[in-house]
Amino acid sequence: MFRAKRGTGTLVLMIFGIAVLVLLSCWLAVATNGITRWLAGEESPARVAEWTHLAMFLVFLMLVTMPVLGFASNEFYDITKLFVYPVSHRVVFTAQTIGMLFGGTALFFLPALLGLAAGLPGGPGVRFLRMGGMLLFLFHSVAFAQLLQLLLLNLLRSRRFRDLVPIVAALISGGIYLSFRLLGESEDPRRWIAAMLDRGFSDYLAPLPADWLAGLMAPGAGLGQLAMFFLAFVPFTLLTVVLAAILQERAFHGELASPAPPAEAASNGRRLRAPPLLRRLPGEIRAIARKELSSIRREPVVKALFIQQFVFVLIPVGFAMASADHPERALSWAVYAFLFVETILALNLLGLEGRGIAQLLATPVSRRRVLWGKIVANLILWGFLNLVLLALILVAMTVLGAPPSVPQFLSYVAESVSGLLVLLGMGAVISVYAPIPIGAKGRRALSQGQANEGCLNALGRLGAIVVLTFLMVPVGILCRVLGPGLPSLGAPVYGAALLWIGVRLAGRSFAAREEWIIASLARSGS
Amino acid sequence: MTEHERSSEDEVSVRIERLTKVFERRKIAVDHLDLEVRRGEFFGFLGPNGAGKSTTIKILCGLLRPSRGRATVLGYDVVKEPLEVKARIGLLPEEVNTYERLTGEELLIFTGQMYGLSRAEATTRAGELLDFMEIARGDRHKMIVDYSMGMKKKTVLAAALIHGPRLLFLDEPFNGIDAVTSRAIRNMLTRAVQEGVTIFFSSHVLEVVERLCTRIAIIDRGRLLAVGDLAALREQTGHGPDATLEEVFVGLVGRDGDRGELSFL
Repeated sequence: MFRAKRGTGTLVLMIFGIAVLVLLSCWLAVATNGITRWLAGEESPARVAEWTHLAMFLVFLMLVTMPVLGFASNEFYDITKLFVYPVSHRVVFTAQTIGMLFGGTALFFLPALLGLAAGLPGGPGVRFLRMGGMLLFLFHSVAFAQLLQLLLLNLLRSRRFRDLVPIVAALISGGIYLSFRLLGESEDPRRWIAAMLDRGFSDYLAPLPADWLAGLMAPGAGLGQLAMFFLAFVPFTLLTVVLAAILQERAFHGELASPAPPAEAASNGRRLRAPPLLRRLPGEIRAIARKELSSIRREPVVKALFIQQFVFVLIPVGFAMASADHPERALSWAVYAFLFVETILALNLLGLEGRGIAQLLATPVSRRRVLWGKIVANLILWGFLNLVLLALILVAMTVLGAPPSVPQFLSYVAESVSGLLVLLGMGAVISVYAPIPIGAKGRRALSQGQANEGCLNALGRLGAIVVLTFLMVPVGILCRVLGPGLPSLGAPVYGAALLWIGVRLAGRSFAAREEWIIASLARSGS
Repeated sequence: MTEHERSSEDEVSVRIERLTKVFERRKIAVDHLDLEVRRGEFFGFLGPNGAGKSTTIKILCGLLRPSRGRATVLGYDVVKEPLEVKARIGLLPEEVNTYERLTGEELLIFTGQMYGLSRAEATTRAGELLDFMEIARGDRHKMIVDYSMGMKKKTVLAAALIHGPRLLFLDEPFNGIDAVTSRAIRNMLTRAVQEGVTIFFSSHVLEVVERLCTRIAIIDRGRLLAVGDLAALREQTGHGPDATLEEVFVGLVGRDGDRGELSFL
């Protein structure tokens, strides 16, 4: 079989990635320029000014926050690593400033800033000065980002911050998605933009240097005002640079950042007590379930995945339901939509093991029990969340004036239970044949060397969803066509049967695939 | 395995016959290895980097399948009866890969339960082991991700001991561990050997191996070069009675470590 060299694959992916980023950057520049010209054409100086303020603030925010959020994953941001070399702190500082100025983030947003400046009304002289102003703004933002990084150096190097990053990143990406979704949902995006601009958000941004510059860039500013800006802003930017340099010198001499990460506070030692029913399970299954629930609770990447799934799965479903002719009827289908959220853990039961898998598989526990332990953890977690969802559906349908009858509601419960059981049955098999590491280490491993596997994983996941849909057809027939009522009771039985078959099949292949499973999850090679 | 075969294996903890492991792209990690480790031995397993030590240990612990050959551990075939093997051994791998989102105490209790201990028994043993490893009470409830390398190593070593294994595989156990705890662990291991526990010990610190091990095997490029006590190894390599293990090792591996001088240093 043809096997592409890793080097070639990585190169192709890198070129593809750069091409996408360049296109995106150009699109952003065209969009920024277009919006500015459109607003200027409407002869509404207040909206143009507001747009300039907001656009520049967003760029400033991205330039400042991206190095902070990327600190944990990009070791090049940690300048203290360079302090072991015989290079003066001035050289390190200069190199870092230049590096950030010509780095991907700054270059990505530069066309957007220039597009904004070019779209603002004014003569050629004013436009030229505005372009220069934007370059200065970019430099200022980079210097400010550097200052912030140095101020927060100890915090950025802490484990707690590293844990926070994926959650914040998921919230940001979710927020961006939601904004675009809202923009797309509005009948007239132009009216939506105008309404946003009329709210005067920039009043709250006044204390930020980025906003002072935006005020001077906005239409109406003449050459004199722009010249004043340079006179005022250049020293301010220089002050930022000097402050950053002083902080770095302190870091260089060990006065700012401790060489080792700061001591962490003790984690909360809360213990999950198993419900009485679970206490009847074998000790190994309970221990694995307890460990799994602890990992789910503490692993930040799982929290980020939850946020992503809620935003990217439930919100589109929510929009679709809200726009349905009978939202109260559409609501009942939420139990099916929720299955897609459940896939993040239920289809990848071994994913959270990561490098710990070798330790688990070095124990004499039967492999079926390993799977059952994971399944019990998933049943507890998703069972609880399904209860919450069902309660919400009940409340929402009642509020909308169409409360479900008891048999109807019980059929929703049956659907949600059987769906979870079917999913876990599939998950048991998929986890043994195609486990994917979840968690910080796993994520890093994927991003560094296995990016080409990402496409296969995505395709595999798509295939799994198709199979899931197919397997859920009998549940739908039992609960929606033949039910509600007694036939609905057959759905959980069907789900339990599939789960049992899934675990039997997976358990049979587990031992033979152990070596491969360890290699896939731990990426430790030989 | 029959009862007779099992009883004949009583005195042999590890038996390796023509063991071979070939990875992808035909990389031979272990090459027709034959070895026998007797019960109650402190057995040193040495070799230069990439010699196949860790691969052999992983095969013996049931974490890798051999490509050819056979291995039994405490009388159980590592391929046919891996769970029986795993129930009786403890493993400290070279790389500390563990559940970093559990606290040290949680990891030990979890591991104990995986070996069939009750939660109460596992908790008691975990406390005793953490006391032994001098992991402060305040640190036991911290997540392992916040531990230093030495603390991680001590915790994983404690996890390997919690079920009282009859055979211990230790791959570089003293890396990153302070001198005082190292000494306590060495004494504990020596006592365990006196009580019949077998230790399969791999390390690059030859002074420690020389001091602790009763027999030593040296492998290179997956092949066995020599096996025996230090005196036998000296004899095999033609060294005098005062030769150190390092001299014997270097002589056997055939790379004397003298590679001339660097042009710029």
